[in-house]
Amino acid sequence: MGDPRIREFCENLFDLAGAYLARMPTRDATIRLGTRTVAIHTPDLSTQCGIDPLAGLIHADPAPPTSDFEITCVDAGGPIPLPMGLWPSAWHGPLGVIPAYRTAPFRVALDRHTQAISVFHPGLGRGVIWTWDFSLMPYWAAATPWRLMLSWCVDTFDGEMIHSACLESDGRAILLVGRSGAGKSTLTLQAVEAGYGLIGDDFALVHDGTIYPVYTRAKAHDDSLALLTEPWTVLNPKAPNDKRIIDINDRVASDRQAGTAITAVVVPTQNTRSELTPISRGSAFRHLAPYSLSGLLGGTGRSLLRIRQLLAPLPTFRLDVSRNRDADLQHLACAWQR
Amino acid sequence: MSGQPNQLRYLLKQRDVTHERLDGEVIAVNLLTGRYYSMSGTAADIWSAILMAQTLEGTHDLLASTYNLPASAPDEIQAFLDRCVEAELFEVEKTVTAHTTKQPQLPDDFQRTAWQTPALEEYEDLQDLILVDPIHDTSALGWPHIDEDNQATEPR
Repeated sequence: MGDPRIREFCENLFDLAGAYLARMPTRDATIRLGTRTVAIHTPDLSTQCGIDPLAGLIHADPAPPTSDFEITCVDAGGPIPLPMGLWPSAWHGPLGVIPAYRTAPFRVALDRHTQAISVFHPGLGRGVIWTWDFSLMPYWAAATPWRLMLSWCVDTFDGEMIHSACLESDGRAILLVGRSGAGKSTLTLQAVEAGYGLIGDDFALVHDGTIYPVYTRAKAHDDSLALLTEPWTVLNPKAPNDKRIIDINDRVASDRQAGTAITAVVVPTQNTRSELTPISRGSAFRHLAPYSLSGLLGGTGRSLLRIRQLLAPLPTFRLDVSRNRDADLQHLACAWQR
Repeated sequence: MSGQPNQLRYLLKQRDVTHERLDGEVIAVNLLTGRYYSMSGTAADIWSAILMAQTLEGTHDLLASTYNLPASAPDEIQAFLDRCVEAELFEVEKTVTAHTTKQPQLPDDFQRTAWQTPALEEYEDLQDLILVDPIHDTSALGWPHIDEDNQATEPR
């Protein structure tokens, strides 16, 4: 059992979140998390960029009568003050997560990106996110809200959130992984225009070798958008110097929600000519794991192990992309065939 | 293996470092510095050996059971471990009793060739994304007010 000060704080936070729900207008939605569902209660507020975070998730329609998880989002601008946590700040890890042994049976983190305190009880499947000011949530957080909390949910059934674009063909999925700017989103959106199925462009859920969509948003720079031929719905067209947030909700086919078996992992790399080259799984591991962990504030103790288990049976490739669309897609197609 | 007075013991900084091994390649992420590291082949085996043996002597013995070590190996192992300590992946303490693992054995997860000079490859491209200390990078108002000189970086 963890430290009693943290446990008392968490229990208070859960009680206050209940009181918040009773006193403040909230929106309710149920989203899909693989084969599970998550009931979300959130303030009826939009972010500073006017993007609705709740709309960026895959909703369960119709919503089941009960959900596997329940997340309450609270805005600190409301009438209920946030309780203070009276434990040493040194207990927080470098990314804001307190080690689980101190917080058991809860998980606790301060997420600076979203300026939120996140508390989750794995045994109950309940979580509370206490945001400082929901209306000031930056655009990138609005595009991918509550990533950390969702990663804690999937941890309870040995799932993992990974940072990957995902494409489907003939019922089999390929993951496109690697650092930002390597060409993942451009290649993914071009492939969709060429007829490939889209599973996601950001974080997705992996469980038992199967990938599930979580978000219905993609992000791309203007120069990447200029390479696309179809009109895509850009949610922040006027934001200066920002990545564009693209609504891909109508591109993620509903049958992908049942999960798609992963067949290969591809690491796109900018180069002068297109080529698909086998690489070691260790190399693919290096291109997938750090970027996934950084988005999950370090992940859980099992994150790296699960990513390793994911990669162990899969062929892994580097795809040199040249911005010659046809050549790039032709070589990408080979990843499904090998 | 027997303990020697004042021999050095290498301990992984478990609080700050997360790591995993796949097919003879190790990836280690230092969440404190925002750097991550890759090591393959010989370097991956030194990493695994020091985790098991904790001492230079034990690491050498473990590697010697698998490799035909050249005369330069002890210096190369020491240099590699020094680099790991410099990268804040391990901390060092003096000990009089050596840690022992029952029948330690290196993972049999890749086709080994001859001993090669180990290399610790360092990557810094995640540093801005990973270094988002919510506790210590705040302004005088405290969390969640961010120090203006230290704005949050966009995550993916």
